[in-house]
Amino acid sequence: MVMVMNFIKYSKLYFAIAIALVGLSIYSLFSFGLNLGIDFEGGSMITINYTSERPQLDEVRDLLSGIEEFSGMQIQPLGDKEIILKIKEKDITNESFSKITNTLPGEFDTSIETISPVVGKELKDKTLIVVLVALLAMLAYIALAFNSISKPISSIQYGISSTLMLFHDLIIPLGVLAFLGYYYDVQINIPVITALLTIIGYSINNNIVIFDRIRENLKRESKLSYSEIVNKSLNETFVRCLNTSFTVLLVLIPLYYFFRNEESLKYFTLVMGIGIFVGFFSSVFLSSPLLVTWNNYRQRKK
Amino acid sequence: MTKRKTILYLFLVLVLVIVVGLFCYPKPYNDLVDKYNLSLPHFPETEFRLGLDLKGGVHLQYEADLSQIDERERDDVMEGLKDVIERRVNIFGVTEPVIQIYGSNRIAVDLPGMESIEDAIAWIGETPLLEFAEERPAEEIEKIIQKREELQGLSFEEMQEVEDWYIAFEDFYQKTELTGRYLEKAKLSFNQTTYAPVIELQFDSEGTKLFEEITERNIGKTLAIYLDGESIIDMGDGSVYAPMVNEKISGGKAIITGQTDINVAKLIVQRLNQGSLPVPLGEPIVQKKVGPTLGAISLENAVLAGMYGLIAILCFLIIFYKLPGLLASISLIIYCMILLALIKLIPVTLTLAGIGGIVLSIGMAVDANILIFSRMREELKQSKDILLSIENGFSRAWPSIRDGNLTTLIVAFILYFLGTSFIKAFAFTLILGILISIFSAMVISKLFIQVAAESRLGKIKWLWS
Repeated sequence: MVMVMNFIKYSKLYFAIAIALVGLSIYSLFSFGLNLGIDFEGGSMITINYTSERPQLDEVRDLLSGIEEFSGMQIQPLGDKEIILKIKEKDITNESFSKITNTLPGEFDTSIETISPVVGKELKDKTLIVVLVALLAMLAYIALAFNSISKPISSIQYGISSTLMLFHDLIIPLGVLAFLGYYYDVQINIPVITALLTIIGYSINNNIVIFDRIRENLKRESKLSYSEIVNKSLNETFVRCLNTSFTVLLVLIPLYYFFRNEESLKYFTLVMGIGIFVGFFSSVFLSSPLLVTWNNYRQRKK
Repeated sequence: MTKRKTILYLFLVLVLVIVVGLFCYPKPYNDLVDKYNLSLPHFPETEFRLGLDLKGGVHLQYEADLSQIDERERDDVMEGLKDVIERRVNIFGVTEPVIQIYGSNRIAVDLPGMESIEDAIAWIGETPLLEFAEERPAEEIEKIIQKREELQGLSFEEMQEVEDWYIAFEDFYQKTELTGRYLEKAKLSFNQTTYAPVIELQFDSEGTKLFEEITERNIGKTLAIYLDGESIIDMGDGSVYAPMVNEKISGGKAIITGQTDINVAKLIVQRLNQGSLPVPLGEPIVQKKVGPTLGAISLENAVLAGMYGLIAILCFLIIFYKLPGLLASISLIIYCMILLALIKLIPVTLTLAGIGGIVLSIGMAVDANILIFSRMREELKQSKDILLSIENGFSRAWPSIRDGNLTTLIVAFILYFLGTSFIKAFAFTLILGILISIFSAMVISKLFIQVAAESRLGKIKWLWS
């Protein structure tokens, strides 16, 4: 391809878009909060004990999904005659409880009790620490791997840039989740967290591929300015970034289609999709242009 | 590459494909062996192990006897009980249990799979009572020894004639308040210089206080450890296992040295952990099959989704990268086969989180191929020599493949070693996938592409650009 795109030219616009999106996401996170689901918060468990034959589970699922106030309900068969319903609400009013009993077909007894979260508080705190340690390790590795190109900007800045991009790539899906959680009662359970972890992986990889190109071009093209080198590298890696993101979307489409009835998986694919999209945007339009801006700022100061 | 070497490598890849293929799908081969009565070994026809979220498993409910526990402490005790059960189940190797507290005094343990449930129940087990006992005051011990000497050689009837005869049957130790309830965990480690086994005990905050008081008043004396009223291990001479207290121990961490036999030390640690359940736990009150939490996806759906996703990727690779894309597609299929065979063999319990890790690793495997081909194309624009372009394409793409995969690996290792439950599952399949993907891209893809370039296909230019 002969076409040469200038990725740096409009970087102020891209930064503005990114800052606006991140700002909105943070606003959404703070004003709505995260709607953590039953895996993290615990809730109630209703055991439906059928006196005779248990109806088909799919039927039960379809009927129960009509009740709006219990979104995020987990439905499991237990033994031969029982069904367990797990919901986030700890106090269930008689009214909403009777909605469930009226919706279900057949004859049954019910019992109800509270259940603890699958992921306890201790684990929740620990997970946060683990993620932070992992980020630091990533920063350190990038700083080391790009040590050979500490000019014109230091290798640690490559690490900082990719950490910032990671933040960007995670905060936007989280902001969307907070919004959806508030208005549509979309709950965050283990599958969604898995999607977020996967996004971390792609985000790191994307940035490193581009930085690697910059590293190589810096060594080969001594005549070009830093901004030209970054732009050249972005042009060379653009098709690869597009193709890689596209192939992930190719996997997500059948995943979404086959799992469209399962709420938690639907949001797994949704979050992955958003993450891949913003990850592509940040790796092409933000991370390396940010390095150029840094470099310009440094030169102006001199 | 010389022709002989090429043929050898291709042959090795073929063998690898056949072996992993047989592990993935052994049925036709085994049927064939049976049909013709061949004296060949069967390949194990094991199923993939699917986690609770995908397939369900067994649901056990335990009722804890909280009658001895202060009302305010009950929630904490239940939390502690949950932790201990989780640890025990994990030692047993059942990955990804779900353990939840029901109501005020019940614990539900969901275990994936149906095999070895009996073992799991035995392992979670009824709690033995773990007690720590200190030496009686010297004068009392003296009395016991005296009585024992007095009674020596007497028959049981004669003994009962002697005044205070029962004193002889008293232990030299008296119980302290410290019980297994306060023990957080025990573990085996090794002295860094002598490599002798060392038993480490970790008490919880209350246990730390109790242990400090007990060690303070028993410096230079021994502290006996009882399990269900017996010495925690059989010492062989009827005495009680009782390590010496060298100093006052604050901070809740105790170390027992001097046990030279590693197997005995292991046994002690195991029994200490068994005794660390805070309250007695009987047989499970409910034991039933439980269905998957992610109900709507049947296994077929999951497999179909995976297949369509893979086919879409392969089509894309072939359309966009032509011959190299086709060759990479073959190596990607081999990659998937190796991954599936390993998941079956290790075995890895597949949960949704684990599948997330696989998706990411497939993505990175595809990415590695895309990186290489983009490079190859660039090189081809500048030179006529296909073989050289291939060589350069691979070597130029390598640093970014290496750095990208290594960083992800580092993150995955940290998640694996520090993370918990589902995060571990994600990290494990990711690590496995990345390692295989590097191999498949840098070794198998490269071999195929080199062979193709050396053949007549290498002369047809449009196939390569």
